[in-house]
Amino acid sequence: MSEDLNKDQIDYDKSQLNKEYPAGSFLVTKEEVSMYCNSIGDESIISHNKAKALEEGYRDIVAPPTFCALFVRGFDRPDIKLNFGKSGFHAGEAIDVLEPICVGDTLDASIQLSDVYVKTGRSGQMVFIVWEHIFRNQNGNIAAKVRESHVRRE
Amino acid sequence: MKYIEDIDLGDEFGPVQIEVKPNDVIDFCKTWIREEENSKNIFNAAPTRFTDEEFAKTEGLPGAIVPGIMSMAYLARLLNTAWPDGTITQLDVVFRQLVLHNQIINLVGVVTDTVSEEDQNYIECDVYIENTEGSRLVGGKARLDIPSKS
Repeated sequence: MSEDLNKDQIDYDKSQLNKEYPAGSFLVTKEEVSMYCNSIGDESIISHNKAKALEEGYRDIVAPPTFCALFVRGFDRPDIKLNFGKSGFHAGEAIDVLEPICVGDTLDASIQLSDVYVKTGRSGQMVFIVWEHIFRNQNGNIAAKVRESHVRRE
Repeated sequence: MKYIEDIDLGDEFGPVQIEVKPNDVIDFCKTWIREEENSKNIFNAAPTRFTDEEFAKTEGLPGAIVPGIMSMAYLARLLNTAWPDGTITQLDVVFRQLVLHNQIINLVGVVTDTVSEEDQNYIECDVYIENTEGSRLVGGKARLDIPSKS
């Protein structure tokens, strides 16, 4: 096992920290929202019935709050040249929902490396890489922030 | 309708029991495949650890697994079912163990805080995906805005 690292000793391209990159534009469609809801058994009326969604004051059918996390999957991430570990996995996901996302919305996404830190567990040291994705709607408002954590193990 | 005044610290909700059907996972994955076809990152629709049992085994997994973001979506479903008039504003999940195709899982939660102030009413909850033995496969924390009677 290598010597214990602290956060400052993690070998990666630190110039990438908090540097924001555009990640694409996404149109939210009724078909996608419907497929998403059906696959997880979400029966929320405002995610299925436009009339009910309008009645409740929304612009259109409302996407479930975790819908944005889908888009993250396809993003290209800059290579941070992390020199640690041989294997990795998806450790966690967090979302802040700031505005409803509705069918017909266009979301502009950006991505940035928000943190790289180290933890020591029973199996040794692990380096966590946290990417933050920001989704702005067609009105320029931030609709959601999604943070995705990945782990590299020794 | 459930109001903030009716909710107490320690209130439990769920379980919502789900049998993870492979076709549901495949449909979930198709949603993001379509997204990627519209972006510059073309997903080649080849078998993946999420959609194909044999492919997953070649990666050293015990079988096809549920994507983390689908587990997260299940927990959002639990919250929406328990608090249909609430609005999820934060959900933060940690993937502790694999969730497999055909596995029976229980979605459960407990209220850990209630806040009722002049301009905001919300609850905080711990939420979990458990297997039938009660082991926690996925854990998370959530915050929901909840309507008030006043």
